[in-house]
Order: sequence, then structure tokens, then C-alpha cells
Amino acid sequence: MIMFESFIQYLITHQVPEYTIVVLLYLPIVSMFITFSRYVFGWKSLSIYTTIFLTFALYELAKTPAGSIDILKGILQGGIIVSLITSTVLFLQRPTKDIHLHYLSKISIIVSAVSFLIFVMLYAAVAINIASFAQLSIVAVLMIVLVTESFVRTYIRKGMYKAMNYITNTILLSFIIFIIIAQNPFKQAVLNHPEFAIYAVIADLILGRWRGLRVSEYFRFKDINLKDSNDTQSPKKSA
Amino acid sequence: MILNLLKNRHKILGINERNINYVRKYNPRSAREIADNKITTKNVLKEADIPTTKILAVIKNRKDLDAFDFNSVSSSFVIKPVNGTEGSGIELIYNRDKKGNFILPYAHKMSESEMRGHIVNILEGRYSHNYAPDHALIEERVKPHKKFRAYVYRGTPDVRIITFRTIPVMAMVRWPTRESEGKANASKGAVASGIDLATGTTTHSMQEKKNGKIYIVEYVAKTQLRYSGFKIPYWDKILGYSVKASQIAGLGFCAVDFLIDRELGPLVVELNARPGLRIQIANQDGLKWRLEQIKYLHAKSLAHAVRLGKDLFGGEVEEEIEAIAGKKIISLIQPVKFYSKSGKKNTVVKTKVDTGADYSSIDMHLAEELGYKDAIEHLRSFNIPQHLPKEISAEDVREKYYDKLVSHPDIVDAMVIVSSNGRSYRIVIELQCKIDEKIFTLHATIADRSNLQFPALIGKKDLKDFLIDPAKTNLNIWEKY
Repeated sequence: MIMFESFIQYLITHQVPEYTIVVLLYLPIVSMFITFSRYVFGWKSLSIYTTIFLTFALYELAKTPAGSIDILKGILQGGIIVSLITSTVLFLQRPTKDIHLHYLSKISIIVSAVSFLIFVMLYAAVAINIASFAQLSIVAVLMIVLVTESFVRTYIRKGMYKAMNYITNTILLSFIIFIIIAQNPFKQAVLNHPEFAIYAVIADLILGRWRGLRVSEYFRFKDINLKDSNDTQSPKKSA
Repeated sequence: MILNLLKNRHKILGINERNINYVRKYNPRSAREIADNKITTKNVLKEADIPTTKILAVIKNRKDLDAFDFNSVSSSFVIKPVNGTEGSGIELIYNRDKKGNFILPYAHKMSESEMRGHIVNILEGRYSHNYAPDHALIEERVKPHKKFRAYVYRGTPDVRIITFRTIPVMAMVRWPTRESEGKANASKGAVASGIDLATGTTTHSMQEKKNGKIYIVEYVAKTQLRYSGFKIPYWDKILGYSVKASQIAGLGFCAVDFLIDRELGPLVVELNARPGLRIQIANQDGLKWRLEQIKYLHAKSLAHAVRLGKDLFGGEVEEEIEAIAGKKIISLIQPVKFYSKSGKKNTVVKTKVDTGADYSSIDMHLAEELGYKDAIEHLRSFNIPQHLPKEISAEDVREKYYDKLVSHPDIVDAMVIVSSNGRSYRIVIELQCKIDEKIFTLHATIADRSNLQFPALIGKKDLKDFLIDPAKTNLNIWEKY
């Protein structure tokens, strides 16, 4: 463990940006959080990649030009962009469904629409003079756009109601994880103890063998009227 | 409710445990591949002479689709993705109208080009596991068994048996409803009813609404018809096929789904290597404790597997009636455990349950065995004739012997009994007996029944706490004791 710590220190002293190292150390921890939420809580989110992408997109959006992390900025910008892109993508399902397009051409049209939408947003940001929004991280936007493809697939297969459920859960989960990892004390703790990333892998191993009921299953099966185990009593012997 | 579940959580199977301990452990990859592909499933089952729904055509690619003529198949069919999940991508076609449009449930119509579009979606993998390219399957539509008619909205109910190591462990039937648009998938809003394995009778029912909430339902929508108490036709056949199918496919833990055709009887529609856990709600019972009981059992034959499932997990309906009435259900010929006078010994005897007799009666030799020899000797010492001659009246005998007989500590009463053999004066003793888990005191007259089929008989006076089911048969009754 000490070796790992000194290795990280070595990288930092040799001009590897702290941000890069933090993100790399966060990756195993974030994925462990998602694993935990799935197997222990039964949190119904879309694929693990989707949630990871969304979380780091938020993290990227929260980055200030000075290099620090502004949680509020992440939540606000992230909230606006994610909700706008998601609603546009889902809204476009109806008209594209009626004209029977191939899947890829449909996705291309949707991605293009999102791109135009970002232009509109940028214009609006410039018009009402919100500088931080006008300089939003385009990498983060790209990540969010990529994620919406899985939203579309879920929508097509599961229908509106279930898809909305999954999508909301996914977005909610990534916001929760983002809020945790964006805390400065959390970042400092991970930087001081980079072995947390290794512990996360150990936790993954344990979670991988976790066989207990998920918290959600306690609610799902709560109406089963189970009888207590009835041990057969030995007959009362009376003459 | 959650507290009760917390206390009994070891009985319920959760997804985590299903995947790690059952699906991966008992379903080898090769077997899973058979189950995941509906065409392979059918080929494998056909070899074992298990009836399946009939495949009319398989469309593998765009070329097949372009060459396919819908007029070449009957006008009523089902389109399915070969690797579909949770019933998505399935379309039921009832007929074609004059313009050639396909008629779907709800009188929705689909033109031929729309139908081709749907098949293209299937081929592109919209409904398959992991969105991989898929094939489309055109199957004959099963005409539902007449008994189901009042219970379903369009569609055909689907009977599911979960087998573990070939032994049936739980069963349910899914009724298509208006919400499920005629589909028998519980995730789409179909009603699911648990089935008592022993009798094939439905028990509890539940429905999952679109918002994911689960409701316990009792009646078929807009009717006074109960979902419970329905007897599934061909029940034994269904259990037999499920055992055989899981064995042939090599699936240790799977669900076998059946449709019941009006003419052809039960047909296997698919095997499922990752059965859902909703069945536990429909049956109001956990799967886990059932699976754990079977872990160390070995079914010696197909018939043995069916019998094990029925004996171990059946009888829910009966239990329920017993719970409501507070009375035990017994059969006409019921095994009864008799305790000896000292309570140290006991013996199980096939007993005739006779509502035509007032009093219970046991054989003299059996009574002697149970320690009442002394009482019998006491009776014999008076030399009362076995059959009372006509000239002696009952009052006379009673006056003469009653007090003397009853003075013996084991004898509680004495009476004249009129039977087909004539009149006889008998003594009555008190015995401790047990039927299933119920212990009670029997007042029995002692008679020589050595020439009769059953050494004991229970009459009306001792039957107050029981309900009699003439159809009940006690399987393996002797092993139970």
C-alpha cells in the first residue's frame, strides 16, 4: 500500500496533473459505488458505463478554469444539459418512429439535433451573459450525448414508463455519486490514501459474491405472507 | 409485513442469489444456449417427443424477408424474436382483413409493409439479449383451451413450472388481461396466479401494474369470477413434460412455459434459464427454502421427480381450507396413529372413515396390542354372547352388566351396537390418536374385526373436527409416519 502511495506521489511530483490522478483514482471507486447500489440496494439504473459517463461528465462540468471543483456549477450546468438533451432525445422518438427510419440514421438525426440544441444554448448563454456557461466543457457534453443512446434503446424496448424510470434512476444515481466525489475532503482523502482505489477492487470482489436479498427486494416481496417455520412437535404422550 | 419478511428472509430467493447459486451453478452454458434460442429449444424437445408450439417459418435475414410470402402461412399466427426477452417484440395476429391488413389485439391493424418493418426491427436486434442481430420466428397461434375463455382477455394463458434438478418446485399461470394487451407476461400487466403443485389448482393471484406496483387481485376484471380455485387442465401431463424438458435440455434450474391448446393439449413454448422471481408473490411462498430441500435429493425417474414435487410442495389449497375451517381434511381411508395405553408405543393403521356409523370401533387384537388386554379379559369374564339373541332386550343386558363392566378403569362405557351382523354388546375405551399433526381422543367400541378389511373405523361422533374429501389420496402415506 505504501508503495502505491509513493508511486502516486512520484507521478504528482513529475508534473502529472492532479486532476488526471484524481479522476483515475475515482474510476474504481465510482464503479464500486454503482456496483454497490445495484447489488445491495437494487438500484435500477442503466448500464454501469452510462452511470460512470454521466458522473464524470458532471465532474468535468464542475471544473472551474482555476482547476478547482464547483459542486453547484456541476449540478446546475449538468442538470440543465442532461435534462435538455434527454428530453429532446426522447421527444424526437415520436416523429422518427412514424417515418420508419433505420436505427443508425435515427440516432444520427438525434445526435445532430442535440448539436444544434447546444448551439442554441450557447447563444442563450452569451445573450444573457453567463460566461461560465458559454465556456462549458465540450468533452462533458459529448459524454452526455453518448449516454443518451442507451436512453433511446431503453425507450424503444421498454416503453415510455419503464424507460423514464430507468433514466431517472440513472441520472439520480450519477448526481448522488457526483456530489460525494466532488466534496473536497473526499478528494483529499483519496489523494492522501490512494489505496482506497485498491480497497474498492476488494469491495467489488466481495460484492461479486453477495447473495443476500437486495433492499429493493424487501419491498418487492413484502406482501408475501410467509408462515414461520413450523417444527413438527413431538406428540404429547398422555395415557 | 417487512418485519415478517426480515424474519423469514432465508425462505425467499433474491436475484443475487438466483444468479450466483442457481443459474450459473446449475445451468451449464450449453444448456443456457438451448434455452435462449427458441428454435434450438424446439428441436431438442421434439427429439424427446415433447409437444411444442409449431413453427411456421423462420426469417433469418433481409433476403428471407423479401422472399417471404405471408399468404403461405395461416392467417392466424405469432411473430417472435428468436432471442427475445420478457415477451418484447411479440405480435399476435388473429386474422387478415380483405385488404390484406393484419388484425392485432384491440382490433389494431397493421399493413403488410408495417409488418415487414417490425420484422426488420427484430432482425436488427431491437428485442434480443444485448441487442445482437436476431432472427424472427413465425409460429402457429395456439387456440386456448375452452376452460380458459372466461378468464382471459384475448391471448392464451401461459402455465409456468419451475424445476430444480428436474423436480417441479413452484408453478404459476399468467392470464392475459386488457392491460397486457393479450400477452401473458407478468411484466406487461398480466395477472399471475400461483398453482398448488399437488392438484393443479390456482391459489393466490397478483398483478403488476404499469407503474411497477404489485397488487394482490382476487377477481377477473369486471366479473365475479375468482382467479383462485381454477383447475389447470392436463396438470399431470404438464408436470411430466416439464420434468422431461428440463432433463433433456440439461437445465438444472429453469422455467418451462406451456400453452394449452384446445385440441393438442399442453405445448411447450419456451424454456427459461433465468426464471423471474415474481412467482414467489403469486404463490405467497419463497423459492429458496424449496430449492434447498431439493439440493440433496435425487429423483430416480421422471415419475419420481413429479411425485417428489407434488409431495414436498403441494397441498397448499388443502392447508388453506383447513386454515379457514379450522378442521383437518382427511380421506375416506385415512392412516391414523394409535397410541398405546401407556403412551410409549404407537402403531399406524389404515382406518375406514365411515359417516354411516355412529361410533368408532377398533379390532380386538389391535386393542390388545395397545394394552387394553385387561379390559377385554374383563368383558370376556362375563361370557356375554357375541351376538345377542332376539329374545334378550338391550335394556336387560344393560341392567345386568353395565355397572360391572364400567367398574373397570379402562372401560368408559358399554352399549348395544346394531350392525349388519346383528346386535352385540360392546365395551367402549378411550384412545389417544393422531391424524397428521392433530392429536385427539377417540371413543371406540371393541369388536372382532379380524375378518374385515380395516382393523379400525371412525364414526360420526369422532369426526366433528374433520372435513372429509373423498377425492383425497394419501401418497406415500406410510413413509410419512
